[in-house]
Amino acid sequence: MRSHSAILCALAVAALATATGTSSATAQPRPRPARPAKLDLAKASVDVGGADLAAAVAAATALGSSREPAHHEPVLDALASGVHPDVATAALTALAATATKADLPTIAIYTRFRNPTVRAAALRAYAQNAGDTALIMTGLASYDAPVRGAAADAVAAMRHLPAIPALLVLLDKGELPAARALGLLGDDGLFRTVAEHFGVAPDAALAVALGGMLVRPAFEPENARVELVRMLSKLSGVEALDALEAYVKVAPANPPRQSRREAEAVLTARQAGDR
Amino acid sequence: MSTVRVFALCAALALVASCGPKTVYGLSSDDNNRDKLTAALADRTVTAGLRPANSLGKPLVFAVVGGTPKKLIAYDAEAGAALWTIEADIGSRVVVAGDAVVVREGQAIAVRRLSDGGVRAQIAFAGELVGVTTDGERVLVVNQDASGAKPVWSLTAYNLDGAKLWQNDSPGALGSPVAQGGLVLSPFLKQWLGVLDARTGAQLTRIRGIDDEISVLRVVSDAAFFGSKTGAIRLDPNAATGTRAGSTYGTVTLPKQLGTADFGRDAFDPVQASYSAFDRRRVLWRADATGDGWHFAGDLVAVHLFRFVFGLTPAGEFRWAYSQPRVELVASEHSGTVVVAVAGDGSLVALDPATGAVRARGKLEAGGPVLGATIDCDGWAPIGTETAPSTVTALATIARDRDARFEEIKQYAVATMAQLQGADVTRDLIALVVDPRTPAKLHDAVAALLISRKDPAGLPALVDALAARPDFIAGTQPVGTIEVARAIAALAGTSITADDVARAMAALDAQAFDPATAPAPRLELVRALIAIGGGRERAALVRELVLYRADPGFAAETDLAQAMLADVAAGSLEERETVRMIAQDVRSTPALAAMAKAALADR
Repeated sequence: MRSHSAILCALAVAALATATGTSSATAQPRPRPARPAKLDLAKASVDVGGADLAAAVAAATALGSSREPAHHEPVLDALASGVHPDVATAALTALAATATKADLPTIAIYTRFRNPTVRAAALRAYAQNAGDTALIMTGLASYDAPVRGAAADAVAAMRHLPAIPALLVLLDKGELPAARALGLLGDDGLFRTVAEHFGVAPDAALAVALGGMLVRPAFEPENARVELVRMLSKLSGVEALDALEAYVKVAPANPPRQSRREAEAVLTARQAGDR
Repeated sequence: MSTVRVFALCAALALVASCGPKTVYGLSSDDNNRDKLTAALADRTVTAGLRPANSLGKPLVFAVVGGTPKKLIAYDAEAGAALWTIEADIGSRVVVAGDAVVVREGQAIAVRRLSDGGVRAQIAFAGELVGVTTDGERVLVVNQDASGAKPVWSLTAYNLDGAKLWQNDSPGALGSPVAQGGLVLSPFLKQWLGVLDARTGAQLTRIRGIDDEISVLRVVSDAAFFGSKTGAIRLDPNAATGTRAGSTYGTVTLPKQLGTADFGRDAFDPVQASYSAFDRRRVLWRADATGDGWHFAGDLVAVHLFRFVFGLTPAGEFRWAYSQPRVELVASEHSGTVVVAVAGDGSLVALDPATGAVRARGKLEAGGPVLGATIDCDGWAPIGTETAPSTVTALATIARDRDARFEEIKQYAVATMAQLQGADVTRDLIALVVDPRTPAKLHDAVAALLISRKDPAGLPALVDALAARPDFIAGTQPVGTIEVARAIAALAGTSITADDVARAMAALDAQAFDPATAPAPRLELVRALIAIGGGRERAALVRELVLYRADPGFAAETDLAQAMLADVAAGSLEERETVRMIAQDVRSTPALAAMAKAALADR
């Protein structure tokens, strides 16, 4: 009879192969560590697969945060053979900053995990390495808000422009992560598209999207900035004023910009009013 | 009718007759005399073959249109045009024969000319009108006069100019009569059928119903029938027996959902003296005019229920269906060669009684709702080229009908569909299951049929139904997943091809383990996987068990976890080792570990 560890190892490989549609024979080998890290790898490796949940979470965080690809091995093995959702969340959150392409097949398994917190963390980690955009797009259509939020952040970070139509639908539904993503992706053309959603999308979401565009240094030309400021001035709610304030803060005083002057005028006019 | 009731009735009649006026409706008649009936029928003149009762010989429809005032339209179905339209206070159904169009208008009977609708005569009557008919030579009116000490029913004959010819009074209820070829058939107390000489009113003979009441009369161009709302006897010498067995008797066995349809109009019901809802639920039939035994034309009948017409065998087996779009059919008639129906919006349709194919369409420019119509189209044989709709399509159209009133009919359509084979049927049943507008009772019935029909040909349709994914952006959610999964599971053991099984497993796997799938459908999806997988599903189950073994949320889905563990434990040695690992490894949730141990113990 084989030992449990041997079974776990086999299962992990099988699960990876099944979930990613690749075979173990063709999977890209993970890079081996060049030098040992300061992390107590042996202890962390035991803890991450152990019964002590708190220790497992700590170990997952430590291993996942490591820039040493070799330190990812134990946590990836644990993920592939089933861990508590808290451990998975910790590991995936940590991997978001450190994951390599070799880690993606294991992370991809968790982009379809039932627990939405785990799934959102997996999407963030997955997007870190510009993984399969189709998988990220699927996240945008999820009924779980955290997952949609993570996917929106991911498409913005990846500047995945085909996601814009989906983001606009989410904008109409008042989704702030989608609005933020549109703000990050926005240019003159997208501004006009977003502006057409005035009256359809909630003002708060529109303000977040438009405000995000306005503060981007790359957002040009000036006449578009002016139009955008005027559009923001038509929106109700504190989000529009916050967006104008943020713009006034980042916009250079010189050379003088009409957009900045108009933003200041709107803020001044509303100072006495209800924000 | 029981002996006691007959006796009491006779006693009452004797009492009334002894002090009333002349009556042919007495006690001492020579009932059920075959010789007399044979002689009476020998004098009857009946046209050979099928032809309309009107003297123009054209297929005509006389439609009453609501409004103030009402309108009566004479419509030539073959020409597709109105002959004439008149305004009048129509108060009864229209009867037509020869050159006479007879109808109640206000408090009188109007005799109108067929040629132009003009009034030829007005006939006043007292009391309540029971019914009126014409044989083209005379008008026969039955009324009930309750002004005296005792109510009196009268059958009075007039010529077409309104001159009274004769009158028979009755102390008991008379039904609406019919006339044919020199005979008047006059039902009496639902027990007897008086066969009278139309010229004199003299009773030639009388039939007493032994097995059934006599409340329904029907005269067509080549025959006459009488009976009850559940069956009819042909008026031939055998009818003198008054029994079902001894007569040329016909009936149909209707599916219970269609059971409200009547074999004919009740001649004693004053409501049915006018057009009413009874005209919208009828068994439409023709039977051989002569020959031994009863034979329905084409061995089929049609059942008209509101907007729908079904073709059935006399045993009630489904053959075809027709659904009139949107508007109810307010009148219908089996005219021998076609089933003719008129809708409330004036649409006319002629259906092939053998296939349900539309042979002719027409439209009465009614200018208002058609309240009812008399169809005089015997022998009309339009040769329209529309092909019969597929049975499945017709039934599916009925089953999906948005009108909430027809649930029984929809249930019938669904039950009939379920007996048919093929992917289209499954697809239509699924469409009903996933439609949120399907009423709950119908939904449950459809779901049960979908599962019980076990048609392997429907598997592709079931698999397609699993393709829908939850999509927040599109605002869509899979619907009917539980029913579809159960239907797939029910196919276990049937002859499904390996390719179909593989496709089904892929669809089930994707849906079952989609994170958005709720626990209840997930359980059914996994059960379906296990049912049809034949062990090939275990790789997927192992994958999921390993992935979620430390997730308390998964362990909380006890039925699901137990089903998966039991299936995997029944697998290979290696698969059982997975269950053993789950049972023993510290990372597995205690609940799942316990279930794994139990699964191993059960092996």
